[in-house]
Amino acid sequence: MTHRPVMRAAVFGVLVLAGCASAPELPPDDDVPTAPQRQAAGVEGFEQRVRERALQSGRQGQLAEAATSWEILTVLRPDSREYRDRLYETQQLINQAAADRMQRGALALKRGELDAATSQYLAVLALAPDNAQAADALRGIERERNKRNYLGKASRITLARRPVNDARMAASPDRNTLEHATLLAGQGELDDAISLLERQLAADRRNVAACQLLAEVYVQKAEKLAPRDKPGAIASLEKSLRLDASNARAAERLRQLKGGNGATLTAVAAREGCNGPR
Amino acid sequence: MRCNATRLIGGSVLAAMLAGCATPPADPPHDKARPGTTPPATGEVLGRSDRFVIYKPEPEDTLRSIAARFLGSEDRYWAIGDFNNISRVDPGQPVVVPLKAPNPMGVHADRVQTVPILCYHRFGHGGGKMVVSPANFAQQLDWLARNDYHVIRLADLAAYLKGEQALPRRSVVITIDDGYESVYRHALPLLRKHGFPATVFVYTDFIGAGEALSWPQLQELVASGLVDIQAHSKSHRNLIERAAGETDAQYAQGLEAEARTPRELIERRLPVHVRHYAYPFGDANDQVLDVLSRQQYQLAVTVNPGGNPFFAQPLMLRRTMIFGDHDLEAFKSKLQISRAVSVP
Repeated sequence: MTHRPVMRAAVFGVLVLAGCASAPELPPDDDVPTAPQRQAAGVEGFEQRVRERALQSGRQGQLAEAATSWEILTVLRPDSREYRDRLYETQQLINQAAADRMQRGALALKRGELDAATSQYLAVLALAPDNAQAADALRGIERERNKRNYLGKASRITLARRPVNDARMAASPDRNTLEHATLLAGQGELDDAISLLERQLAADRRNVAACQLLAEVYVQKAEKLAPRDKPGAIASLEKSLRLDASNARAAERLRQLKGGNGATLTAVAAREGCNGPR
Repeated sequence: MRCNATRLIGGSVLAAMLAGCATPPADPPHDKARPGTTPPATGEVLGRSDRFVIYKPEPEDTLRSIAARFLGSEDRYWAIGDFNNISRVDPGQPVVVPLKAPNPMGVHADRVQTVPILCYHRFGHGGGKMVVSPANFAQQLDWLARNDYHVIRLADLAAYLKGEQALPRRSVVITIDDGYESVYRHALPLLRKHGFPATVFVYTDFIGAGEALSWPQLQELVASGLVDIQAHSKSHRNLIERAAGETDAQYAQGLEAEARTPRELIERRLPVHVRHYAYPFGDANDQVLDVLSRQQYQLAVTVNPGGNPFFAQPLMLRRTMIFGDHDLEAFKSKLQISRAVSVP
């Protein structure tokens, strides 16, 4: 068996410097049989399997896996020059590939492409799990994502649009129902949210917060129904406006769907609305 | 950039090769002998470095006995199982014992580890989607136990998020919001049956109310050693909403109270440190995060769905809602323990 670590490393280096998108793969090795062999038992079988895995991982560009396998073989056979050389050359490849990925990640981040940057930094960590710089970059990206997508965004559109003005709500167990209905609606479970709020209103018809939230969930349901069930969407918007006539978005949407105006709804809302004698 | 191959990966790397390329069965027999009863491993060490031991098991060896000998605690048996992708050892077939977590952040070429945090509210019969029946909860816990899931404490996530501590590949956290009495009546006995930990987030204005847990019940939950009591605010108000006419100063003062009051009250009444918070309605903003940091909170949970990778923001952890009408298949589909990675 011959060993050509320097030459092999040079070949891999060319692949890396050529800017290959994925991690460079180890070239086929003429010295090692690649066909599946009968699985041997005991220590010899273990060594054979680890060795095959190392070669296969290298060929597939899974360099970290390959390096771990070579490292384990150096632990098993500390006197083996071949295993040490293989580990060394895989390590060199990893260093080059990880540096390349770090650079690509930084460029993507500079362009504001968070998904692309995430992929590159994860690729760095797949190669080098102790790369603190890549780990910190990923944490920073996640903070930015949270800032963009979640922080400061109310789960209840109604109450974000309008300040809370129901003093009873401030410390009432009704909040459990409001929260649960909000969570259900947030997960797309609109009928369950409606059912929960209707039960709440049946028990306490003066619960303004539940009423307003129900009105909002009816709007969400209308939006969901509109593409496939226009009459259903209209009915849902009408229910919403009966509870909360001040919802301009619902009124506008109803006008769009009906092709007319919703003037008659205002009178209904005045009798049945969340702030009226329900 | 420093990059050293001797610090490289692991995880389930050796999977196929050590397990003879066999896919583990859905319900594998595993090595979970009763803790503390495992005889020490006595097999041969075939090789050793500062990172790995290669060990040839004897017939009486288990993952636990090997972990006890090399990792200092039999409870760390999962580290050997995960690394070798096995659920039990075969006598004479060498296994690799990783002495240091080779990949504590769980990032692999094709996937990244994520930890699902399950979110329950109430237990009982009827009452809609937010109420999980005791039978369903029992079925879910049984399934987790049978399938070698590790129900970990929420606190265990802190070191994982810093990249300091690996977690079992199949890790999951159980949380229960609000503080309903049904936690005591229905959930505690089932958690006890499996020895599974859980975090109960209570809002302190609710304690002792009609359907809520009482202080003596909370004390008993803590005494079980399984249930951690943490904060879900004082009043359950949505922290990013302002009351009508509320000034900036009043709003800031209100946020302080929603963070400080439950921490102080719970710590005064129960032998716990309150460092974790569940946002009412799942909502937070920058100001809320600042307040929680000042009030010594280390982890906080939202209801944004999904599992948590190591780079999750500690005060913005994702959670997965478990609803009352989930059958076991729906429950299983919620357990996101990894996220696919596609590298361009």
